[in-house]
Amino acid sequence: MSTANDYLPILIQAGVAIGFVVLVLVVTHVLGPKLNSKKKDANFECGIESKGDARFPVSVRYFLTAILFVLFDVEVIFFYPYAVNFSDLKLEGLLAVIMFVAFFLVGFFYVLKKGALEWEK
Amino acid sequence: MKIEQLVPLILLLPLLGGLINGVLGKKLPKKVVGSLATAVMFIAFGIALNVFFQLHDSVRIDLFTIIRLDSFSLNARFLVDDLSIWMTLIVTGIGSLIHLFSMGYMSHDEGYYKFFTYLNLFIFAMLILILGSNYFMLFFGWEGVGICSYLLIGFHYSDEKKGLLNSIAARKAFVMNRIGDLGLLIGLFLILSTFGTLEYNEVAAKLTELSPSNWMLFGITICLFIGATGKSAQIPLFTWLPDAMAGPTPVSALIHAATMVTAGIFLVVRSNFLFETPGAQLTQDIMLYIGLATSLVAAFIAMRQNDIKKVLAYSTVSQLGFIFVALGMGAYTAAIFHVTTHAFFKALLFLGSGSVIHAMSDEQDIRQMGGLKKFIPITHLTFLIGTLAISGFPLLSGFFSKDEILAHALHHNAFIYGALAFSALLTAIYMFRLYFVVFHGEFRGSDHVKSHLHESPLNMTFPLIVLAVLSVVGGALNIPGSHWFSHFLNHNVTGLDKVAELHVDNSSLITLMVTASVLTIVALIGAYSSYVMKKQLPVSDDKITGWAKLSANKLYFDEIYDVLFVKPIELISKLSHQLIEVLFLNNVVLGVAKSIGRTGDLVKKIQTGRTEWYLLWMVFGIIGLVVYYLVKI
Amino acid sequence: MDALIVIFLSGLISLFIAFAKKPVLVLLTSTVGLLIAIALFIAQWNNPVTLFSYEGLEFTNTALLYSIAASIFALFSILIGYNSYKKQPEHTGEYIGLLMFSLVGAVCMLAFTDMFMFFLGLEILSLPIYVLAGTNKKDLRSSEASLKYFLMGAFATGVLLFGIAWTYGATGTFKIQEIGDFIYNNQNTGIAHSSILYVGVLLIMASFLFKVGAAPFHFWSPDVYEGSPNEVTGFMAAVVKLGAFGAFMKIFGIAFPDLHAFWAPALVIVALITIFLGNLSALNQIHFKRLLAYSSITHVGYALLAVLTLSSNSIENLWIYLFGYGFSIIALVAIAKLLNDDEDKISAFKGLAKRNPFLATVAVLALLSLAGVPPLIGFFGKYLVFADAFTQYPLIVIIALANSGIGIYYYLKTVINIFQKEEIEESKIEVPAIHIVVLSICAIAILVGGLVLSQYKLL
Repeated sequence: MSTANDYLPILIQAGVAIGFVVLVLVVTHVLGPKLNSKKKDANFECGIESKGDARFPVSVRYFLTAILFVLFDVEVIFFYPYAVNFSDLKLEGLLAVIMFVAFFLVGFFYVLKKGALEWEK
Repeated sequence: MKIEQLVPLILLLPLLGGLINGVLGKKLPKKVVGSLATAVMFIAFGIALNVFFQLHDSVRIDLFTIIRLDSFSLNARFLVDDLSIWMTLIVTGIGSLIHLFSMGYMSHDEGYYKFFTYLNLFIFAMLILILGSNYFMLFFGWEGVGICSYLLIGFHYSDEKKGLLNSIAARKAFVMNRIGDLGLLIGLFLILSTFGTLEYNEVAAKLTELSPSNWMLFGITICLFIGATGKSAQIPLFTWLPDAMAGPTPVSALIHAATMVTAGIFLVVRSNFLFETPGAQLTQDIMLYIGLATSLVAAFIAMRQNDIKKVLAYSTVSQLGFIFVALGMGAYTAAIFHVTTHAFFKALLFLGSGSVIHAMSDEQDIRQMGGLKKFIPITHLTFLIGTLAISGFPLLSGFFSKDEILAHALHHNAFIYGALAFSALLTAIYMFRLYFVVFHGEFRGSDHVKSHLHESPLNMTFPLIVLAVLSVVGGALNIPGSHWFSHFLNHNVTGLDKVAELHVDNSSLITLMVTASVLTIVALIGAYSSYVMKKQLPVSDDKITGWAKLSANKLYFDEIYDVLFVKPIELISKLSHQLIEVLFLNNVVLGVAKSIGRTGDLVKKIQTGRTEWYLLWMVFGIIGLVVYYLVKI
Repeated sequence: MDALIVIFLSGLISLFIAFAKKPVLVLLTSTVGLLIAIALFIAQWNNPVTLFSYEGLEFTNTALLYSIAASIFALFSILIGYNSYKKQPEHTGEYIGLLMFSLVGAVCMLAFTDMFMFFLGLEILSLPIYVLAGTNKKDLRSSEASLKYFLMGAFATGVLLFGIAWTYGATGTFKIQEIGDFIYNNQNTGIAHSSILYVGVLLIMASFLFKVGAAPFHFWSPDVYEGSPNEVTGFMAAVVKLGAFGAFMKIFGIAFPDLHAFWAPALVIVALITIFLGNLSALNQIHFKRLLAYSSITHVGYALLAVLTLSSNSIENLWIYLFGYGFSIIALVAIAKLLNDDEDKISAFKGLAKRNPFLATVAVLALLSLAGVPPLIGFFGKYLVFADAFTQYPLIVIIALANSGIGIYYYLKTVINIFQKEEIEESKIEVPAIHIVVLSICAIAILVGGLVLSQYKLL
């Protein structure tokens, strides 16, 4: 049960946050000294001459592995709250977690069977 | 089995036959097609007989609800009482015989399977008309028989010589019937708005409860009667029936003599409780006099027709007029009695004429015939029985049924009796003329035709014999003294038990019968002397004068209708075409259509295919909703 | 709940059984699973006791009715898609499994009791569809459809979450019944009319309008309908619409009925724009599935009238409407698939009456039902919805009727194409047995469904 007034602090905070970012960006731009030269504007590559394109194709398997990692990683995050409340949740909690683990193990098994983790096929 | 199960079967069989023949008939051999169509009819008749013997009280059979609203519902429901089961017997019984006859008659026709499909469908529609428990079912069947009649009249539409004429005849029947149908439809709407239901028994029950105004009752009944004039060929809508003879002869026998044209009579008998109200008094009188006029006019025209089927057609119209006179006097059982006997002898006559035409290699002009009794003896004998029956020869079926109507007429009004008796006399004269000219004297056709003269096969003569027997004994159904048929109908048909039965005392009964017999015999002798003794022959059309010319030209009904209705309508149509269609519709309606089409093209352009635009539109949508919120607050 | 688990498990099994590279096994598993689920749904009618239950899901008769329809259409989508699925045996499991998972989402969307479950259901419904839209991998339009749908769907999801958050803020509960009670109990005070709640309602409405494809949130639908494989198009038009409308009806009928005066006018405007835009865009279409997409937008506009009316019959009327619509659309996409025209032109229907009378008959029935010709089921749906709305919104119903008239034009244009002579002589069309079964059921349902359903009061 809240009214629009309760959200005022949030609004103020959002305003302050955005305002700060805008302020800093604008102010640094205005205040900072501007010295331009050809060498200074060139791409900085750790002292090595730049060559080739920054955008080059990477094997789709790389992304696949990466996204799978993220997926399972995120699932693991759910263990943290469970670990904290482990003793309070009793058997029911354990069953729920076992079910959860079973589900994503099924997913893992599927991924393995599908050969998504084999780099060379 | 119980009635509830049997009755749907009666309807289902012809429908099934029609469907099978319609879908597969092209590939099946003719024998299978014809046998199937005929077999389903005979089975249906057998079931109908079974139901007839089981039936005591009227039975209602619910199939399903077509439309259910809070205010009313349309039910697919059957009402089986003595009236409907009697009509069912006539339709399936005579229908079976005519199917059998058609197997022989149509055997050389290419559209054999189509013909039987139509016939079966016709029976199905007719049964719905008869067995339905409400006006909606009646209307459904009414339109169904109309369309089958249309298809069958124009059956030989691709005939080289007469194809166009056949199509025109079919169209005429259709248009004339539409006028009547409109009347019927308005009548149904009036019933619905007055009583809130279309069920016969509910209307009858609410009649006393609601007691609608006399004007409303008059409106309802006159509209129903207009519907009846269309289907049952009464003045002014009768001209289609003679033209309908363009159809194959079994069709004329089944549809345009025995069954469909009695639909109007059935409608009136079914609605007897409406017609017996004080408000409908005027309608009854109108019905009486229109029936009388029709009977006389048609009998008069029939006097000088030379086409064997046309004579019979006009005689049908005349007989239907006769029945309407009975209805006008409230003599419902007498009407149904005459419908029954008429179905027997008119089907017989038509089938007989079909047999004659078959023998004559499709010649229909009676001037080309003559002396046929030697060549086609069975047809001759049965035709003679039919002729005697329709003329009211003593102790044959037509004698009793006509006599009953005449008795009512005498009781009602001497003038009507006189006019009816005159009409009956005319009937006897033209029928004997037909009979003598066709079957007696010398053969007048070409030698080629003569060499082909042959009696029809058994499947054509068998129906003739059965019908002949029925024509002879049919009168016994309601023979004075027992009046079995009247009691039968009064037993459980809504309203009929309340109609007072007329009981004529014996002396006047005998007077009536003697008068009728004398008239018939006079006609017989007259016709015999002029057409057989003096060998007088119908002359060709251009030589006749006076009354005869009027008769031969059908009292110029078609021409008068042409001037009165067709020409003005054509004129209005032409004007409307120029003013409304070309000037108004083309500009306005097509303009609207075009502008809608153009807007469509414009709107299509919003769909750019770019996702960022789509998202932007969504944002616009949300902003729109927020703006709506701001405005609303 | 039992049925839901059955659907999910049979989806899972389909996924794994596909490793055997025998597509027919996958089909069998999913079909049997769906049939069992439908049987369980029916068994649950008026009988809420089940083996498993969860407070977030409540299978009332309404939910069961919608779920049965959704399951039937999902089954049909799988059946008509099978012929192309089996050509890629290594992916059959995914295609069919994803359809089943999507159905799980749809059922959740029909049976939820709180916003949380609703949101989950919506996502479970949507995510597989995003993938399925792109399953025609060699067709650029399919990939485009997938991406577009995903981007816009994500946006709409954001809007929905935002709306749910606002509503929660205003009422302090996720449960729709409690939200409804809260508004009912406070309707005379300012609390039930706070701007937070109002904005929340509007945002939830906006996301619903996106999901069902109402203007101006409809732009995705023509592109996605056109690009997706036909069976997925059928699934989207039949199942997703059922799920979305069921949830729409539920949330606005249970949680926000007392704010009807507030949101109804907005919905009226949206419905009108939707009807007009859909109809006018459909007029000059030459691509068949785009035509279906625009016609579906128009149908959404009509169906919104049921949400607007919110009478005791509305839920059932809407169900009959969507039920009839589903049969037509599935029959049509199945036939369009059999025509096998890469460009998906309406003119591909030319000569269908000669090439295959069976397909032509079903197509004509389906089109006429969409046009609302009695006594087909489409007529009854439209009639019931319009008649129900007429007392409250006579003007809008009249406008909708006029638009139905415009609609007949483009449906009949297609019907005419079916009976026209084809330009190039083409061979007869082979119809697989599965299609014959599905199309026959559709045809029968279209023919007699309305007559039968209008006899009974289901809810």
